[in-house]
Amino acid sequence: MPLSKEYLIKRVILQIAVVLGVIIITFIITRVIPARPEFLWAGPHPTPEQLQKAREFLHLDKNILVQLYLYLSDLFKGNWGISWRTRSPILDDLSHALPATLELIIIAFTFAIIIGVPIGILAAVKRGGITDNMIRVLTVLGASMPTFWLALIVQLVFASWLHWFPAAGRVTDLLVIQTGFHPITGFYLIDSLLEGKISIFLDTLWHMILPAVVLSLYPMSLSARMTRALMVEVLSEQYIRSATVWGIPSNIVVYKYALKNAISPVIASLGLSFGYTIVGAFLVELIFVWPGIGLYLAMSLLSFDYPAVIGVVIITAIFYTTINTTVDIAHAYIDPRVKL
Amino acid sequence: MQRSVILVIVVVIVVIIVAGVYFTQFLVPSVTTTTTTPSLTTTTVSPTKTSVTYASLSEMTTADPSTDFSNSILWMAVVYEPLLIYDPLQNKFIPALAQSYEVSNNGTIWTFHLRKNAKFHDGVPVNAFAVKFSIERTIALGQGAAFIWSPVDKIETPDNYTVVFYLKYPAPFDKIVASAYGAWIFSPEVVKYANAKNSTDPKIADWFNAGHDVGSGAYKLVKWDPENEVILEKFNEWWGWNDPTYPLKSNKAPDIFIVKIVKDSVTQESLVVAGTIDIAEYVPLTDLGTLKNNPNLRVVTKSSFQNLLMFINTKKAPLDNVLVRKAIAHAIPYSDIVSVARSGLAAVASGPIPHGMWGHFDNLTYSFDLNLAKQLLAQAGFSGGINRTLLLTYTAGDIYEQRTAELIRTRLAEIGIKVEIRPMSWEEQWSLAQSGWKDPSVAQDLFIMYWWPTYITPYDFLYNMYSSESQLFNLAYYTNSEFDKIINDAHYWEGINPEKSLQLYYKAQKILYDDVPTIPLWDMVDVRVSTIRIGNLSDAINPAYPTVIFPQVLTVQY
Repeated sequence: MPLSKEYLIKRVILQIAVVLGVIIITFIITRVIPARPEFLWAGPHPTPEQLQKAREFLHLDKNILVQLYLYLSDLFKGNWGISWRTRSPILDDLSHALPATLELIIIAFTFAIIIGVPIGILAAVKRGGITDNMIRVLTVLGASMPTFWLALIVQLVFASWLHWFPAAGRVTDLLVIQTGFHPITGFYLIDSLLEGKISIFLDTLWHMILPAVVLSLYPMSLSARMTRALMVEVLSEQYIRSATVWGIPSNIVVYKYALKNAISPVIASLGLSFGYTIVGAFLVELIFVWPGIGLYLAMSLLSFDYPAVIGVVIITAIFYTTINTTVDIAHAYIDPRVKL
Repeated sequence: MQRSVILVIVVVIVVIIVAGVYFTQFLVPSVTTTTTTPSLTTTTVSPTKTSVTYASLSEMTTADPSTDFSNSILWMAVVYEPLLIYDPLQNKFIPALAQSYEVSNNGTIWTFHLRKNAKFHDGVPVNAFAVKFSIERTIALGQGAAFIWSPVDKIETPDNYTVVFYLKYPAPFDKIVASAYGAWIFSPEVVKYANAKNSTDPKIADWFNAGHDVGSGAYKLVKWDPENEVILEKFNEWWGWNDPTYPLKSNKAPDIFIVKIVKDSVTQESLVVAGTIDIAEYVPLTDLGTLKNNPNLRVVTKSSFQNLLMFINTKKAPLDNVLVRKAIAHAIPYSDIVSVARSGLAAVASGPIPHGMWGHFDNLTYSFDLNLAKQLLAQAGFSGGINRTLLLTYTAGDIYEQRTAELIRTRLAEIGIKVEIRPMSWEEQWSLAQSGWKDPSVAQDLFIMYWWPTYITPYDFLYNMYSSESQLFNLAYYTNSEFDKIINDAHYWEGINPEKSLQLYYKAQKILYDDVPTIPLWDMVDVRVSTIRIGNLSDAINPAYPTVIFPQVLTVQY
């Protein structure tokens, strides 16, 4: 059953409507809260005239709907506004912060797959045994542990007590100064290799391990459990039994014939949890002082820097809706009974 | 089936392309290297050049000398020059772009004679037109510290090297032209460089913020990356290098001066100990003892004009009773606060004007005397203490304010005054305090904040924090018309008759001492830690220009 064109167009329009709705709601909420952004804009010791000027400049003297209209019209022109806190264009700030967050999440997912899938296979092969039960307990724990709490504990144990890893930050300042490292793409792991600065590469990886491990725990448990379930199903199929009877070594049976059929749904479901991991990343970033979107949002919220907050909200909304739309389209494609 | 798959893929690709175009189209590339000479990087400064690296705790703000009123002073004071530089500890002026000046008897006509051998980094000579142009642009933009020029009626340039300021009313104008904010002189050619229509065109600000400078100072801006580092290079044609009479320079000054942003004091400390940076702006105060004993380091302390005050809500019962305010003033352990909250790196305040500044008097500290405090409370009719909990607000995240507040709370509890201390973000704290002008009963009872002057005059402190006209920062809601008149008179005489002015400033501070609208707590002492190869650090620091290190004064050992 082919997907209709109308269905796709409907979906895309719906997505745009959702993002727009989120922007409008956030905008109105931030304007209704009794804060005084003109204080932030006008600097430390302003005069009453300067405060008045700041109010006019930020359109705070106008009706809220007029403010909203002005904001949206700027947004469509590609002007996301100026951060009241950092005084730089928000799009600039976000383009510095987003790579840091994405880098962290990508590394976390790499961990999740490299560790989660083999654990799942192990549990499936040894199903019903002690190993299987232990893995089950661990994965349930991993999936249900609050990320922020785990982040604090891990930081306390491995950074503060054992000093195995740095407690916070993305890279050692000292090294950056010594090597004259200057990011190009904002993905430090790539940049350091491009510039041939291996010490920076290792240092960044070193800083990344704790936050990435904490962040990877949920997708890791998810992939382990899914892999196990699917492998158990596949291993009881006819063709696997035939293969075993034919005398093909069990390793090859498991990893070549069974895994091939079991792995694709696992990857798909991980892809879906990618977007949701961003929210987990916010808290982890705050705890590990990781200079990404999450930390930027926290700092902006603390100083009532609303244009920046809305900027982060837009990015998050786009992420979420894109993932949801993709899921729905994929779902509809697989199951023609789904109607919008 | 096939077609729909292709359709989905096409939709996804289109979305990605649109997003990509959007981002690349509208993303203003962040400014990094602008005019860096190819040989210059952070690591490989050619061996014939010396460099000094200074770690700053805060990111730089804007690069526009007319409007910046924040952290960028750290390099602007090196790249740009004012007419005069004020040395507040000696209370004297050092000529910068102006060699001499005179004032008319009535204090409203100030004539400055410029030096003839100064030139901007673009090669254009510094002349009277440039001075007029710079100050008029700052006034016209009206941002940042532009208000310092409010006495100016008009500026005239009778010849190339004479600038005459006509004031609407007398003011200490020599201190104004020496201001650390909003008084920089720059080349009028900037209009041409920025392709601007006139001096207030926003294009000029954009041109500055792209990392350009047109100052006349001892160093040029060669790299502008406000979130990471700013690099300055010696301007060899600066007039001061060859002027034997000029005090603010050394012949061993560094060729390159690097400002690195290092946002954390612990990191700054380890960097300076390792010798990776030469000067740390900020180290944990508790470690200073150890650092002083390190033979490879120098610890330099210098008074600063930033102080911490506690404002009392004078319009809310029972604090509207002056006896209660006096009781609180005598129940505060001033020396303990200095030794615990600041590890001894502060001076117990004596009045709102900080130590070392003209207009400061040493006999305005309240004694710490709990018995006296209890007597005063009893006199006011509160012998058992106050029956409600007072709210004290301070800025969240500031450890010095936090410790100060804790010590105040502990001691006030001993005389029967319960205090709740509440950390708030500065905007929230300020916003709540502002509401006190409309309805004092909803505002806080006690409020802690720092003050520092824009240009160095007692009037800046006394007007902003105590005048009935200044609702933004008079957060004790103090109104006293006699006081208002005295400080206005004092300001009037400051430029013409300093002795008379000083007497009036004392009178005003005595009134505050008796009325207790605020309790000045401590005056900050600045600490800088440097490696042993840096000399003259103390002379390179001037409290009138906070956070600035003047690299032209430093000596660097090879």
